[in-house]
Amino acid sequence: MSELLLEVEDLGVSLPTSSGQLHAVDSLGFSLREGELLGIVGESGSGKTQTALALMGLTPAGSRVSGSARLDGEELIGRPEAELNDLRGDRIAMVFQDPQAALNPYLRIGVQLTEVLEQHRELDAVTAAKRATEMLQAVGLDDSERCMRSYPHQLSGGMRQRVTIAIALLCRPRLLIADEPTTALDVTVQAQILGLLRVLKGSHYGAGLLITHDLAVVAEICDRVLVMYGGKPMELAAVDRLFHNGHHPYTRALLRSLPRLDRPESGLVPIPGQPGRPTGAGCPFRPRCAERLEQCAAVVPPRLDIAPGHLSYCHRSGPN
Amino acid sequence: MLRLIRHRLLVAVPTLLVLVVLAFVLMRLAPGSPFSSERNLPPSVEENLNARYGLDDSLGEQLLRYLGNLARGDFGPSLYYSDHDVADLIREGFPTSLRLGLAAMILALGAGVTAGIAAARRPGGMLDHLLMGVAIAGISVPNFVVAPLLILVFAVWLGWLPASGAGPDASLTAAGMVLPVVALALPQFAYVARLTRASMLEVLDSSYILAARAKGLPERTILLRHGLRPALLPVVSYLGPATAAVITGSVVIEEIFGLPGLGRYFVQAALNRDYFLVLGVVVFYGLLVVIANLLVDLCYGLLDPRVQRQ
Repeated sequence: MSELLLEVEDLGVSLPTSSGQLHAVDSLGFSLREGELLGIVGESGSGKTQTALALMGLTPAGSRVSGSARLDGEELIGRPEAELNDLRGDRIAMVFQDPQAALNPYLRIGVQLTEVLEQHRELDAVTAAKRATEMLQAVGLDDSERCMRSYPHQLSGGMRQRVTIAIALLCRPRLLIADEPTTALDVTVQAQILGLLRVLKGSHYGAGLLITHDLAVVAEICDRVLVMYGGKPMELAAVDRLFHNGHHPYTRALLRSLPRLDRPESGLVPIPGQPGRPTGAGCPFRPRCAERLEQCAAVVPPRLDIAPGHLSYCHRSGPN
Repeated sequence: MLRLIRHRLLVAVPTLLVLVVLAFVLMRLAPGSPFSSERNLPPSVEENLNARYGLDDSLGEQLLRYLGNLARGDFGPSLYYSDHDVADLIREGFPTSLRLGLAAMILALGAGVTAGIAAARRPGGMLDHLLMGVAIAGISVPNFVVAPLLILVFAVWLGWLPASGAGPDASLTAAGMVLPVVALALPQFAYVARLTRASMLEVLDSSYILAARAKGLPERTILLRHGLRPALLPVVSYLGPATAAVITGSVVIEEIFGLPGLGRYFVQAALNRDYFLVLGVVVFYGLLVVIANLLVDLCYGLLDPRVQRQ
């Protein structure tokens, strides 16, 4: 077994809203080993992005983060801002959903890369520019010299996302968090970007969290998957196992809602209802669950160890 | 770039034309004549004077003649300061007004942007409330109230600064400029501070600022390198109207502080119905505002790389 890189336990994020605190993330736990790519899958509002922001220490003002997240044994949650700032961009880095919005339109690409190196590696401008140019080449931008001098609006969407990946990887982070990195891109470019993330793992970053709502993306490049719903974990398993032996009713419903090229006659089976958060304890998926039991509303589902490395949070025990 | 400048100056011609015609008509609607006030002239003398300056022709003829002269760069004679041309008077008064106006603009911009950024760092905090309180006061209290108050406090009670801008020999002194500049700058400072705060808050909420935070950059870099430029764009657009406001304000301020500037000539000219001087100053001010707006557009291109090649 390889080394444990990230260990998240009982992570909670609550955000202030007009109607009181919203528990965006609740009792979330998972771990990440060296060289692993973990997919976090869920619908909008399932708490995926807040999980990422909590690890970065960048949750919105007024939010409360509880629990524990240890990166190489060092606690991230509740760390002083100055220490977090030293980690961000260096040992943890993040790629955002929309590269158009994540790059500053008023600054040349070169500046947006070199400032990271100048901050964390204290490199002089010339060395930083050289390293930045090499990194742009590594993410597949061949005309990297010209790219350094460009403004974001002069690049295509795919090129921009390569630039944000280059920015994130400049300091060879231990943990790379990619929040829907391909959602804003064309399908062909999506495949290239995903391929890039897979190729650079190990050589350019230690381990990755890939946040997405797209199970196909997970199937393509992730090692394990965490399925979230309503801020809570539903199921955690290796990709193969989840796709073939998914236990949780939500996981199975998600898989049924995917188009199948091999079985076109089966059609799509949507999950009934709207994503939302029922109040009270219990399983957040229960209003839409076809297999709900009486205790689902009252009691928090127990953690089931289905198999080694395969967890499910459901009142229905036993394999399905 | 050159094409933009040429285009803008051409577009300014009709604007200035409308301005001149309006000012011309308004001046003539005012009762009295250039030679009626104070001095009781015999009717024959007044007729001669009117004939000499062409004021006995029809209004239409006078307007056309004035526009024709203007096109050749001739602003005409002053009717009150009878041995001076309008152009001479503008040349004489403008340096003082320019110094006053520029100093006020620089002060308003520098202090306003700084205050706006400081307030945006902790919205709802103590400093934010304090600065925005000052800004509200700056916008609400007119400068003809602010100026005498400043004189009362700093010149009369404390005796730190002279009450008049001009020294004994009518030359300007640095100490004498402080109060007029502050009085002129205050409302502009207030606007700039509020604009900067609002746009900085909006910018700080954007994705690229979150991305910059994810890089672990210090707060200062995030505010100044990533936030300041986009936050300044609305402030830059305000510089056009601000120029107009400073010009208007300087008319009052120069009068209150006894500064020998263009604004003072303007007020005197209106009171004396010195038609050509009023029109000349109006055209000159109009030209200044046009140039200020052109500079604003050029600045925009410098600040926002997406505007450059359009």
